[in-house]
Amino acid sequence: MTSAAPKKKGRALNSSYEAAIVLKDYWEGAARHRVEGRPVAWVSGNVPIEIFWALGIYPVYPENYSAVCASIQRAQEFCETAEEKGYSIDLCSYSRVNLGIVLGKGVDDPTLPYGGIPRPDMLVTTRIPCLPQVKWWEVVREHFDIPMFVVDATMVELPVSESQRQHYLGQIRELIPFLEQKLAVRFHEDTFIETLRLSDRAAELWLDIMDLRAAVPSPVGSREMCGNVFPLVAMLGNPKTIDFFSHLRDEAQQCVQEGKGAVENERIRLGWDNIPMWYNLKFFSDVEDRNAIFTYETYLRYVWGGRMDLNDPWTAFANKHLDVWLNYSINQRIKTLLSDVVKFKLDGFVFHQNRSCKRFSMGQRDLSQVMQEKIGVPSLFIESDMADPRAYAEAPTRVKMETFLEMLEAKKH
Amino acid sequence: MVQTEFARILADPLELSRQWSREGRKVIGCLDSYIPEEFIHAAGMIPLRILGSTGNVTLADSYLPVFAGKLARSILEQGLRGDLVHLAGVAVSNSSDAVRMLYDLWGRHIPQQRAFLIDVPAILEGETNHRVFRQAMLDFKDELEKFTGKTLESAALRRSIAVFNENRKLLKEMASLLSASPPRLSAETYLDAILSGFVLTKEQHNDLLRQLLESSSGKTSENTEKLVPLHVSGPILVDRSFLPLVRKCGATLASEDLGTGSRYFWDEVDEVGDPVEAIVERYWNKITESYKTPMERRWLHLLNQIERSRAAGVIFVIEKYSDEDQYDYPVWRDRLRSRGIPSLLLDSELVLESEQVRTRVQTFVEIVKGGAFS
Ligand code: SF4
Ligand code: SF4
Repeated sequence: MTSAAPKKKGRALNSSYEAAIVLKDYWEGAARHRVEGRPVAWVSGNVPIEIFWALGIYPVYPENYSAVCASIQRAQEFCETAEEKGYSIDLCSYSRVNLGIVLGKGVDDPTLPYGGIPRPDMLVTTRIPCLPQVKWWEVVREHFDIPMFVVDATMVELPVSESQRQHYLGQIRELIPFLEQKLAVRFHEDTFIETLRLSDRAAELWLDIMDLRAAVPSPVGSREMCGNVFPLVAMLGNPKTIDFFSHLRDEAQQCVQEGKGAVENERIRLGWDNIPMWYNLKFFSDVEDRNAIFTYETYLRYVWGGRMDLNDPWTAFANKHLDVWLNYSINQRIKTLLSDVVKFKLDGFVFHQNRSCKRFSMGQRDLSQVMQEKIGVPSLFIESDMADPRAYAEAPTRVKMETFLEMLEAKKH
Repeated sequence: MVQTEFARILADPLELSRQWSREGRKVIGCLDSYIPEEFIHAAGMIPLRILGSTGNVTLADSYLPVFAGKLARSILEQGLRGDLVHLAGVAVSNSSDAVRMLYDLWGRHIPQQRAFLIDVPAILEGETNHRVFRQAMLDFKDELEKFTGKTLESAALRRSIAVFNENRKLLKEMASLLSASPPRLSAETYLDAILSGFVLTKEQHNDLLRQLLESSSGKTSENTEKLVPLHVSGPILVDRSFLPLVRKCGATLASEDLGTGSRYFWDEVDEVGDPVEAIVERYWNKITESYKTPMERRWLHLLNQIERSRAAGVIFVIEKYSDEDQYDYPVWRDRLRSRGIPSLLLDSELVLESEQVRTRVQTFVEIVKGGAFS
């Protein structure tokens, strides 16, 4: 092993510094689109995003906005507003942040990050990650009184079945004319296929980076990669995403070739399940003091992106959108995880029991039990929330994590 | 008296089904409102609605977090503990995320028992979803046929539809006695009658309902005190101590749109035309549950019930961690408020009785009475 990349405060990959620029660009682009009177849709995780870029409709992601608020320690105030309005503290905190903004001072409030969230002309969501997402959008629709479309899907076990694919594509064939009619846009298949090509290129680069992180030592940890994922969520079909991911991939590749790790003396490799605690990404890098690194996340690997075989674009498009961790049956999650834990040479796994994202968190106990029984990899559960910092208990979580690391360390001898 | 009969049944709701299994009859546990029970009935089996239990959850904690909600957790608990071992199978539909997960967990941890999944969409709009909904229902029918080794004949289906429709008519008649002024039926009896229906055969239930209706017709209700009529809304109400509590606070239930109440029995199956298609359409068009979109059918049903009963306020009884209902509540509260109807939210975990609930209901009843609501 040669000299280590800068740690702690610095990034392992210099290109990661571009993430903030890309993100800012995205939100400024949304605002510009609004000002210029071009159509804006509020969308959610796992909507068929490429369709929006192909149609010239700007897809605005309130979920990302909530995560941004959390990362700058502004989520709690909005959650509290939503709770005052009657929304239970047990609801998804992304939605509470958003509803706190929408029903509180409003989306145009100038004190908001990026100057506010552009108002939507249209709401599109999907049941693919969860049902609460759909309910959340119903509340937003009640407020703005604008058209809404929901794409449904049932949970999958891979490979995706023909009937599930037809279910999905049938709805897409209803969605396109709906968008055309309501927003006065026109769908051109050529543009769409080109968008898919760009999207797939981005996904390819992203998955390359993910795979490079199977190397020992790992070139980059979870904290940094959580900050890099956003274009994969919202900007698929946008060439800027490809540039950004190319830089990341090249750098990561170089590190792997040189045997340069993100942690100087990597001894323990960890995996993470569920959405990160956006207000506390430090949680990931804190373990580096103990020569441990988080180098695998179900959230970064199977929730966004996904490759498409463009010889059969529509089939590939449907497969990609249905093949999502949150939409996997428990058996599928187990199958996928077992093989990845081996591939990434993980010593231990941390399950974030995220009280906000119930669909992600149900079934985790089964995953952990099977992992222990079948491949002897132990895991740790921490209870918290992705955006609401009130659900995170620093001291006990820290102790738990340290004990876990000690145990893993002892196991190595 | 038929009232005591209901109470006796509810003292041990699973007892009758145990008896049926001993007699060699096949019972299928139904986990939500989108199980076409008519198919199960026509296949010669007995559909039984599983509504969890108020007991402690311990075994299920190894598989489900607390925030999966008490209903899902306690149903899994019942399964793991062997309380449902006498059932020939359980049927789960793709409803709330927690219930959908139960299907996976059943397969993993109670594999000796047959679990059916009716993989219907959550979005009950659009041609594609309709096609998929219908197909999921037909697939379930096929599975039942394979399971029993017999084809579901049209004649049997028609008979089942008739039995279920009669049940629905009787229940609706009962609902109108409840909301009559003065009521011809106590709210407590009404709730017991509904809950009993989930654990009786529909034929038995129909007999008892007929007796009840007969004994309630003509004479006015035994209770003539002045109680404030309220409407109760929510996914599930199984706590039988709740209505006596409401009565002590000077109010009574005059109408409801509970998932385990009128939303379950309101819509009938069309008796002309192809019976299979008619059953599918009934479930597609029924008053939606909170875990289905669109919500408007449910909202209109709520409004109709309030209009019928002239309820002076609405109590939402909502299960803790039931996200679907938790999102609906503030929207509906505001819509009601704009019509001048006050509402109160109560959190439940299958059980409601507590000092806090008593105080809140009391205060609410006073607000409703005093008209001090704005
Ligand atoms: S519950 Fe989970 S999947 Fe659903 S909107 Fe919230 S974070 Fe997304
Ligand atoms: S109460 Fe709500 S969350 Fe619980 S099982 Fe029923 S629908 Fe699902």
